[in-house]
Amino acid sequence: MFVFDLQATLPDFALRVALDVGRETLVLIGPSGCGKSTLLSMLAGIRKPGEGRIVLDDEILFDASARIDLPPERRRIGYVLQQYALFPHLTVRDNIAFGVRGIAAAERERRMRDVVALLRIEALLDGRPTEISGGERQRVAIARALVTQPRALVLDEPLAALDVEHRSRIRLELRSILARLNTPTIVVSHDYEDARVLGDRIAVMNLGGIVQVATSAELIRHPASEFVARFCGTNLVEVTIAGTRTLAAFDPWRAVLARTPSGAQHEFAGHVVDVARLGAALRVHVEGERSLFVDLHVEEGAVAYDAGDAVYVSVTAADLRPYLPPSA
Amino acid sequence: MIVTERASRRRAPRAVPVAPWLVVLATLALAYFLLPLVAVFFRLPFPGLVEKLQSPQAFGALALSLKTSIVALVASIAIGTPLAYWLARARGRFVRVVETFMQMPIVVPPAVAGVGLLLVFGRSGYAGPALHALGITIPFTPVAVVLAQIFTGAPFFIFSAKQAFEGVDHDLVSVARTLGSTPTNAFARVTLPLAFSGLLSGAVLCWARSLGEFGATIVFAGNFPNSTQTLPLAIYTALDSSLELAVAMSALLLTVAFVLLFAVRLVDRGRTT
Repeated sequence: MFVFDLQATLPDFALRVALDVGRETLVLIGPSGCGKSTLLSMLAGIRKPGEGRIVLDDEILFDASARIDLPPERRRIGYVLQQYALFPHLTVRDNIAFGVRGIAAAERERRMRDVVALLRIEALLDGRPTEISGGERQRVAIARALVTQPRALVLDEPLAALDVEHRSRIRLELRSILARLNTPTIVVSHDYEDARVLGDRIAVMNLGGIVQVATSAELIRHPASEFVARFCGTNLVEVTIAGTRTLAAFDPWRAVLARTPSGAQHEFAGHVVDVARLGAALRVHVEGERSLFVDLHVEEGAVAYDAGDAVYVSVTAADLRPYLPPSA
Repeated sequence: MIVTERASRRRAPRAVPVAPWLVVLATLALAYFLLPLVAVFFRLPFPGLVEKLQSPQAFGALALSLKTSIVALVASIAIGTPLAYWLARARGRFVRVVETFMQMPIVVPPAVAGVGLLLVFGRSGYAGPALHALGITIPFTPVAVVLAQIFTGAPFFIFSAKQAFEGVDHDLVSVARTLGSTPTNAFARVTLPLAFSGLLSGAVLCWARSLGEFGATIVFAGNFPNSTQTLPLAIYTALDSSLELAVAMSALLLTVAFVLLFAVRLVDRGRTT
């Protein structure tokens, strides 16, 4: 178990994050600059939090009030950075062996064989980090961390440095690697797609804190805020149901788009800001009081909405999912 | 400096056509720099050069130069490395001020540096009474030669080392820490190997500068044969009596400088390929 509750004062805002990670992959998503990477460096012991504590497998790694602050080399947390930070002066083999130099040769060889097989990087061992591709570098960086048998693994934007054309394949590979580990893992990303594919659970973070922690299905069904809804590509609106104001989510493909008001009970005015094509669907992004997505079938696209068009988005009561706060 | 030159070579810019007049100007500039150096070697036939150098005066000066400059180099590396690392990693206005001050010795005329050292370490200098009480005399001794060389040479090492340390991505050090390295260990296994060629360039510049040190030495250490008369001072002294001897010693100093420069480039190439 990897449990922490940390506070830090960053130049532009205060950060406060409390999470509880089991033997699972938790993906922390949020916009750039919301403090995700800072949080990981605090967990790894590179940065010092202001307040709080970090407990890993019943060992206290950090406790501000008890003045406990284990240095990174004693935390046994594997840390994989966005640019992978492979040592350029060492071969791939020596990179992987970096953290196991002190242990007995037989054990070291066994561990090396295991991670090399797990990550399928046998062919790369004698090369230099500069000679291999981005996806290969990622695997080497993960191998280098895993060979030390960390008690937890933190990955900072592991897919951000990759080309778009390889990203989805490498994402799936990463999922299968992470699925075979029995280690609490935190992956930081700004991309909901990464979170959906990799995460057993997803923690959505906005400037300074966690907004919601849930599975991807749950996030889409009941986003806790418009921010979460936008992040996972669903709609969240404020509506009156049975006399009470409440937040409710609805799927973009359930929404109806029109140029004139239909008089429906749940209708929202706005204007089109973008029209994106997703397979057989056109996703129309409407900005009004709220930011909304409406999916149209390509054939309906004959209506040809353009950026700037004034439109009305409506949804039937049956398609609305009222958001139930966790306390209720 | 050697550091920046290497960095640009690595990027390997494509050759582009150059105007003929530019070639002419470049050739003139090159001649200006090379002719005086070549002249030193062609003034005397080679056996004459070697014979001249066997005089006790030349030999004593060479031995003193080598001894003092090596001590100065070791001391410069010892005091310069922590300072350079701190300058490379620390942030803030104070650091920038220190950085500017550390470049002062590079621009200060050596004779002025000599006067300054005299004002601090001289008998009537700030540290003079304390040193005198301990029975230590520095000015006009070989120790003064070393101090003068450190003062004028070390900043070259520090500047180059700072650049080299800055070039090492701090993420690499962070990762080394999470892989079990103590700060000292991470420095030895990551920072040092990656900064090595920059440190080496800096050390060579520092050594070359110490070997050639003249102004601060003559002011602070004097010009006493076998005690403070280094090779550059011996050359200056010999000009009064024997131009041939001065030329021969110049050729020797120049050879050492060439060998140093060449050795560094060789080591450097070995590391980058």
